Amino acid sequence: MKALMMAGSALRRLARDRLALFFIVLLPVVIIAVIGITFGDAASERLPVGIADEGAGPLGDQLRAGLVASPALDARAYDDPDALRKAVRRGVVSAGVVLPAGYDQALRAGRPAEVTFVVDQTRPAPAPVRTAVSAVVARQAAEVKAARFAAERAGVSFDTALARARALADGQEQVRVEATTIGGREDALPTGFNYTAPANLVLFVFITSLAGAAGLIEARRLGVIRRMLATPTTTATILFGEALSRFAVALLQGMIIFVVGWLVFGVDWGDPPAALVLVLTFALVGTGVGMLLGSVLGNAEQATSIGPPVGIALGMLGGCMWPLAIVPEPMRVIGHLFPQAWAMDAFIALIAKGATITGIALQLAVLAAFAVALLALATWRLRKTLAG
Amino acid sequence: MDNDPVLWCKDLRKRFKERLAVDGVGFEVAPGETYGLLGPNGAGKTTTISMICGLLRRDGGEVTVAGASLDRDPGQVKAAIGYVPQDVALYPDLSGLENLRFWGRMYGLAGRDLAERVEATLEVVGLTERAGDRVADYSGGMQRRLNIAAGMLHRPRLLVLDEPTAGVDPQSRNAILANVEALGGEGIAVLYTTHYMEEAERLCDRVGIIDQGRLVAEGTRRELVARVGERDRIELAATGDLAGLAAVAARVDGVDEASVVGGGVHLVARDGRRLLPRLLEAAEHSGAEVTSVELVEPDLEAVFLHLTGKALRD
Repeated sequence: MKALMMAGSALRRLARDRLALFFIVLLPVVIIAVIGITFGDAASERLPVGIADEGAGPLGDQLRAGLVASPALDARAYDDPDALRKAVRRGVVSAGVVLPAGYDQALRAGRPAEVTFVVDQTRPAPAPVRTAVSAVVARQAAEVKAARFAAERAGVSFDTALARARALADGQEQVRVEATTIGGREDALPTGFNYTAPANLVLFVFITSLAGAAGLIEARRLGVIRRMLATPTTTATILFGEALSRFAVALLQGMIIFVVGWLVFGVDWGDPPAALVLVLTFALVGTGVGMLLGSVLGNAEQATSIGPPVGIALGMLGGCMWPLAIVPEPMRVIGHLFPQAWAMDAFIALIAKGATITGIALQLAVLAAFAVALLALATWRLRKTLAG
Repeated sequence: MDNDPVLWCKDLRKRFKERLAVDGVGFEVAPGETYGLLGPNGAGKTTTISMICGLLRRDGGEVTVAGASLDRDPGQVKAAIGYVPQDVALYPDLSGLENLRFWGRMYGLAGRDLAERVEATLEVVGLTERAGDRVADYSGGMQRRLNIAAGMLHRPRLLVLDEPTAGVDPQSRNAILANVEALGGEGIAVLYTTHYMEEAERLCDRVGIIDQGRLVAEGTRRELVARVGERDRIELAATGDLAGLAAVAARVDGVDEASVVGGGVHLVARDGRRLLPRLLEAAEHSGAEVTSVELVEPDLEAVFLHLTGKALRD
């Protein structure tokens, strides 16, 4: 009961500290927004592609419809090839497709027909654009080839044979080309807000916990904890109350980013109970760090000044600034010496790979071990300091 | 039972590495009594009360508060003590009211009882009007008064005040001393440490003089003065036959020395206050006219100097 009262008092004091509220509430939200918007959610975006039709005829219309229907493309019509080329040069569209005059007649006659793919040499089209356009063109080429073969052999009209070929093709499972950046679900990474929100959750819970050690240092310096020891309150209760105070602040920081990420930025945290357990566990790690720092440092300024740089440095090593998947193996190993890397691994597993709580059991166990070790060390140190 | 001492401690000892900080200190404080531990900085006052309050592990000795042993029932002992540390141990970013509620709960108060005691204590220390303000916005003296209030909230049997006026302006000091004086009337035993001789003389029923970790003497002010043989000095300003006045005064029982100094006669006597009527009566037959009398009684400073060979502020 007294421990809860101490935690409530800590939150009340925090609520009156405008600077702390800026760092806990506003700053992480702004950073998530800026980074998330800057880097975007590449995987889910439809890439803009321009189409210029020079009079390609009915088969040209079909090809255009295929491009428009492609889930990877945002097809935009241009009046002529020059306007399309200008748009590609200016980067308005990633690439362009020119449907030539006589396209329909050439295909019906069995002659080769060329579709021009327009790109800017200084800014090559993204691979997903090339893949999607090629797929649409290849499908039509296959249908036309089948229709011409059927028309020659069965004595039906080309249009009839083509309609039959399209119907058959629509009814069958298509050969799908799935473009992935790294090569499969095992290496999948969340993008956009789905990465920046968990990364900043890990980063800010840790930084806030480091800076929050200042409260414990002040309580020691002012003699408040010593005075508590003179009341009919056990040392264990006092230490638990101080830890609960740090935990409340760390959890508050984590939940602010969790809820804002979910409601404002549309972050899909994956399995919600598993994500919440992860946030709780990492808040415990933050509690341990805050208690340990609070037990060893001599003044509050040291905690508030070393908190952010140390937190950012460990965040870099732990994958909060960029995915550890893209760094060399030795750096990945070094990163996993710190809790941030394990927390990021767990968040990535939940968000990008659809893991459940059992899927992140290892990471949770490692984080819990970090928390227990840090809290034990801090408790030992504080008891030694307070015992006299 | 009511006359049993609230605090009883015996043979307290504490060593910090090579330095023996407290060496065999023991004393008692009765209900309603204010006991002063008087000594210079570093004498062992804070160490002694830290051991009594259970804040510091003892190397030896026993402590009993309100009949409970600190070794066997530390919770009961702590519940009976109100500890007021030397520094202002409050949350500066909380209001005075919130601080008192916090400390009241730490002493186990709750609900209506807590609210009533907070209100009453704020009244006692004169902070009701400023109760809603942040402690950081209080003056130093107000912070000290609130610091004391936090130790009085739960109506302790023993209030331990560790140099509560250190660094306080005279006006606030007077207010604090008045608060402490009032406590004795309420039956609260007070253990008061100070290195200000004036405070000990004004507040304390009994004084323990502590130096280099040892309690060198204890008793009422008069007992201490008597123990070290210090005598009063009486300065008579007079006109006329000063030598005759000195001779007459020297014959009064209790006067040990009499000499003419400047425009008057200086006497050294035991219990000078009691001798004054007889002295003035004798002076009427001396051929001199006494124009003023000044009685200089030996103070605790003199006692401390006599006992330790150094001044309190050394």
